[in-house]
Amino acid sequence: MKALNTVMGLALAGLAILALGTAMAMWYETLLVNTYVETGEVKVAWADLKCSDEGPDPQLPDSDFHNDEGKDVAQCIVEPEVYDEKGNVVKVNITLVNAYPGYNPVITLTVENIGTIPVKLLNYGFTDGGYDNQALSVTITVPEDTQLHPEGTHDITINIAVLQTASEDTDYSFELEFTYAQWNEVQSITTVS
Amino acid sequence: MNRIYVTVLATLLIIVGLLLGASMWLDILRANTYVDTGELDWEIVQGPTIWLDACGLQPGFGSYKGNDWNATYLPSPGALQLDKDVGCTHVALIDSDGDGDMDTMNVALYNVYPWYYTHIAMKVHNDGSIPLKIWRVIIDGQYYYELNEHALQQGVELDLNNDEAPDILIWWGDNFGTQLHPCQSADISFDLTVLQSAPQNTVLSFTISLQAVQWNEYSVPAQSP
Repeated sequence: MKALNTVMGLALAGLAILALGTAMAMWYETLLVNTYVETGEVKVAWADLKCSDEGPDPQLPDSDFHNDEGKDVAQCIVEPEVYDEKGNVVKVNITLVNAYPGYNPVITLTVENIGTIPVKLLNYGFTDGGYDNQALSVTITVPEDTQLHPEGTHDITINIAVLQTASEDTDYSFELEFTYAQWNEVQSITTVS
Repeated sequence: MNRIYVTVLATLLIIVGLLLGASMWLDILRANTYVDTGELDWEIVQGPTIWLDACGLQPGFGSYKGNDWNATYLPSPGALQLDKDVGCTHVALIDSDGDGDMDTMNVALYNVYPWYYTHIAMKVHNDGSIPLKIWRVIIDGQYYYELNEHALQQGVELDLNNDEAPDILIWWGDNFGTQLHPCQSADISFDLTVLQSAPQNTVLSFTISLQAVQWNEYSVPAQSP
């Protein structure tokens, strides 16, 4: 009887091992998904720089100032000042030399979206305390729709008028900053000063 | 308990919002602007300023001698040198605004008499960086944009002692509106004739200032004061 029990026990153990073996051998196949997220870039640069003073000095319109003789007394120089690591212009230098009351150049700066994501102008304005409004009048004009798709461009104009109350032989300076952000995060433009 | 949940939730939302804001992708473009103004500046050059019958000259004939000149041809231009040395003319240049440039002239006529004539010539020089135009002359506080532009008899009569009688006649060699570029100069001269109604026993003295404006603001009032 004892021997029978031993045989039965071995048989059960064998069945159990067989069942496990069957389970181990179940056919299956795994599907894999690899995901790559490649982010774009928000990147803008100054693409073109121009000044309206390319000869006779422009004068303040609708004023008593005139330059009927077409004199070229002051100079307006717009040139790149800082480049990024890829050689794109990110800061420009505008210099008005020998300026005088009535002198009124308009500087046009072209912005290009050199990134891969559409951008919009988030904010712009003067930094570092603004400018001396007793000596100068500065007007910045930006497009109504500031959205730039990749490779798109638009112009920003800076209108600088030297006022009658400006001092002679004096240097005035101011800094401007234009911040662009991805289009889907900009609700409206703000100006900073 | 609910209040605690709401507070915690609100705090978390604020933190998330700040993180989102801070992580907004941006790019900034900058522009630095420098405006360097020029200078409107001119002067009466001291060396070339000359005048007839200067006080201290030795008597004699010629432009560099002290004999007096008489407005013999008035109202026509010119004068005749006399054989007497009675009166004399003194001219002093003044830097009225302390900028180092002579901009004002003081003229004094000593021991002069009716028809005494003198002639003063000067050179003005643009020593600034902006083109200018000779705008007006100020004689004893009075502004003149034009003085006898065409004919001598249209010269301006000046009442120096305020007795309502003219004392001298000034005829300005017209240079109003003359344009001077930086470093350029121009000659300006004027004639003076003492008139019959000048006071006796008086030094006739007056001050002349010249004003220029930058070329792009030059205009002459419709009616000079």
